[in-house]
Amino acid sequence: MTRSEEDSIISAVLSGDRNAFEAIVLEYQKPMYNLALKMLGNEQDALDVTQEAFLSAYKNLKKFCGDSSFSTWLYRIATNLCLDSLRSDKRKKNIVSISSMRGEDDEDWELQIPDPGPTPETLLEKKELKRDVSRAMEALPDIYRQTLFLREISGLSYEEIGQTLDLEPGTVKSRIFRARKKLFLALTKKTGNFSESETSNTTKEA
Amino acid sequence: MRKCDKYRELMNLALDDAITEYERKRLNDHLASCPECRLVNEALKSISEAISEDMVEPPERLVKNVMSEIKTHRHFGWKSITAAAACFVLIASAVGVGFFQNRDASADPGSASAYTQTSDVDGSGTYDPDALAADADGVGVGNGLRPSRAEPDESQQGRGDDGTRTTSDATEEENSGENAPAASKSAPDGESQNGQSDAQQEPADGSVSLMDVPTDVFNGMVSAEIYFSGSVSSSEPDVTLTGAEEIEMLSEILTYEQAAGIPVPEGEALFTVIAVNESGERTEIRVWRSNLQLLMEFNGELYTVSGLLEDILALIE
Repeated sequence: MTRSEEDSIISAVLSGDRNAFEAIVLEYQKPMYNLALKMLGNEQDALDVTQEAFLSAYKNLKKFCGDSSFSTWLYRIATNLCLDSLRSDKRKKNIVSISSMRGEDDEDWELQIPDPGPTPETLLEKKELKRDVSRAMEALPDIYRQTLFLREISGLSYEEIGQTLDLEPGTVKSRIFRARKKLFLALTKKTGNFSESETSNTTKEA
Repeated sequence: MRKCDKYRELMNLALDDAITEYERKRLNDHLASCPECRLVNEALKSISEAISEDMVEPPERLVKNVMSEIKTHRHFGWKSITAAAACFVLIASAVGVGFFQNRDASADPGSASAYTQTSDVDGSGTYDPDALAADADGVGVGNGLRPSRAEPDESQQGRGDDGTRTTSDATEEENSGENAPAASKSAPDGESQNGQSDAQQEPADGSVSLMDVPTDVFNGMVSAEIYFSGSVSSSEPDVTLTGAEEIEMLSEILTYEQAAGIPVPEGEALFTVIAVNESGERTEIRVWRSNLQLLMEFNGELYTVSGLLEDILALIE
């Protein structure tokens, strides 16, 4: 959907053509739903939040003022709903994730590769990669996972993510870096392609 | 810091389309000479792709749910005076009836049956007044003030006093006493002088605008307890709001819009609000969610409210 198509759909909805909104839902439901799914971890909540996000966007369409792209605006709504949902879950269960409170990590990138090492293909076989990444993502502290997902799925910039999560762009950037680093270390540790010194580095934190 | 570390940062910037041309050149030059970084770079790219590609198809009902919700949603803005008046009546009833009907809920487990009894309302959104009346400790709840039957004039009248006169006999007297500290949201010590502070909310022309209504639900309340878990009587509130501003915001969020037209669901509500007034009396308000909307239970019926879940969550954050 091009920007101008999007604009004309929005105008149509605003002038009373409710059905026109369906095109918006169809266009964005997949990334929105997946973003919610990744952030919330279960399908029912993801569905609820995605639906809520679309309805909220519909209700507040008038307030969308073209400052950001429409997709940014939509993702922002969805992300905020996800965060609200997570907060309410935490409140409900009175659980504060210790891992998510631990702000900084101190793993070292140092890899001590003993030899030219495995090729990327052997290191991270495509076939199993998604599953492994997905698993490793789940083990990430919330703040890293959310930030990285937002980046990877929505394609928002650091600034836009910062606006969404109420963070400085620099914080967004460093969270994304750390998230990727943690994933990398978790995945490489799993495949055992790196030396012991590396694995001991990664466990140090735990 | 190893010299490669800075290139790891550049790899990330490249992945995020945040790298400058100059940085990209430096990165590429380095990658050409550092096998370890090449490996890491490829791995990071693979991870990044794996995340963005790892998407599932959303359930088919998503689009249908959203669109059907949108089609029933009133369109941008509430314009109808009639509707606003009906809304007002609901509020008046909520204060007058809900307040008394529910205040003992926590003390008397039996009173919870008022809700379960109403779960057999049919799909048309009608309810059985007897089911509620039987459980209302003698309070007259069958006052017939339902939105479809509401007369704006009548509502205006009812509210002209203290917003609670729509209830009957004994409760009325009791309430006017309790309502004295109604304006005490900002004066918790109860020294505020009146229950008339809402008088300015009555437009002179006799119409009732939506904006005038919401603060009445929690008028005189000094705190609002929010329970996300099921049992209100046996647990501590998850959140307690005591600030006048917060309570007012809560009341705005929980402003009735219209009948939801569906029966009260069985089982746990999404959350329950107990509004507590100066005298410690408690009004229980159960809030549900249907797909996209917050629904407030009142008199055994569900009504949509103007706020969204996110508003509530933002409030208690």
